[in-house]
Amino acid sequence: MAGILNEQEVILLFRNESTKHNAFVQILDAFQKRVYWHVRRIVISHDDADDVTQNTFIKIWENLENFREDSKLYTWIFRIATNEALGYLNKKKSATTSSFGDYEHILSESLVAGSYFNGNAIELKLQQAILILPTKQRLVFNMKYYENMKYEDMEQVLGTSVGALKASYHHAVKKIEEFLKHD
Amino acid sequence: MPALEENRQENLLRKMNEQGGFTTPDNYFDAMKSSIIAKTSGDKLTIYDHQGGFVVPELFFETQKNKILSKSTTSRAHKISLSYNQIILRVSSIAAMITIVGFLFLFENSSKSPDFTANISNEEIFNHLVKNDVSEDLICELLNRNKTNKNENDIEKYLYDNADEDLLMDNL
Repeated sequence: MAGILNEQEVILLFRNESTKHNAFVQILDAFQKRVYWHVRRIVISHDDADDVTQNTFIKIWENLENFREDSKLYTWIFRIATNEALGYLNKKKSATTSSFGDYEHILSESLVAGSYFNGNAIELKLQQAILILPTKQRLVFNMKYYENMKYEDMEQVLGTSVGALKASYHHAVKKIEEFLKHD
Repeated sequence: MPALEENRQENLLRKMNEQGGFTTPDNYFDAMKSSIIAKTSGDKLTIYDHQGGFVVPELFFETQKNKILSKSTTSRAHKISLSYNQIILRVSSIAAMITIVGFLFLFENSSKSPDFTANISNEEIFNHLVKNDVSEDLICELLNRNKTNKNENDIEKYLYDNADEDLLMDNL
């Protein structure tokens, strides 16, 4: 995915106290929506995605000065967002009692009951299929299918080799196909 | 995976995705697109309208943006303040722990009668204190009982003046 800002310029602006706020607003404008949707597909709930997105940008604000330019700003931001979302999800999982069933099932149910999902039957079924995937496969599928992210960028975000990512995507597609055919 | 099979799978899913008609909330993205294009290089911009049926409340992104900007301007001062307090607290804790270990060492050497600490090394005691996150209150209480150690202030001063902050943090 192409960067949408001149990253070096924005980082330089951020490191200057007088232009720091302006640089952050540019980053926010550029990435807010994409980060939100990326997080939303992981945590599913709108309120949770809102919290995680805000936490992500606060972390960006606090740590961008120390950003090492050996990686892309875009992948650095998505790495923070992914880690925040997975951490949030794990906390929710551990707080959920087993009597309600596994957490993915709860998320799947929330798609139907939730007020911020208005997809049709096919979209709902696809989301339910995605929720049966193991976490890593779910991440890879969403990042490839919805965000059209390059495997090379995904490698930076998830810290997994391109080969393993391709395999994950392949397995994810197979499982989704099976789910859609038989469920 | 053969390329043909991969394409077939992707096409199947892509077709389904296009049928979906992913929705966006009340013209939000049009407004957002204009805003972003005005501020960034439009030729590199990619807008994703398809969100798999997920939607957000009206004006959500504007509200969220304001919240983030509000939090970010206050978080810096808060962070600095917290960090300073944490450094003071942690340096004090390390100084206290060193004092306790020193006290135990002296006590062990000067005591003629065998006691329960005789077979426990100082290192083990120190590790126990660190691993179990012994509370500052307890350490202070122990310190107050131990009035024989006159080097406490010197050690603390030495740590303040000479110790590397990152090293102290790492050793906690």
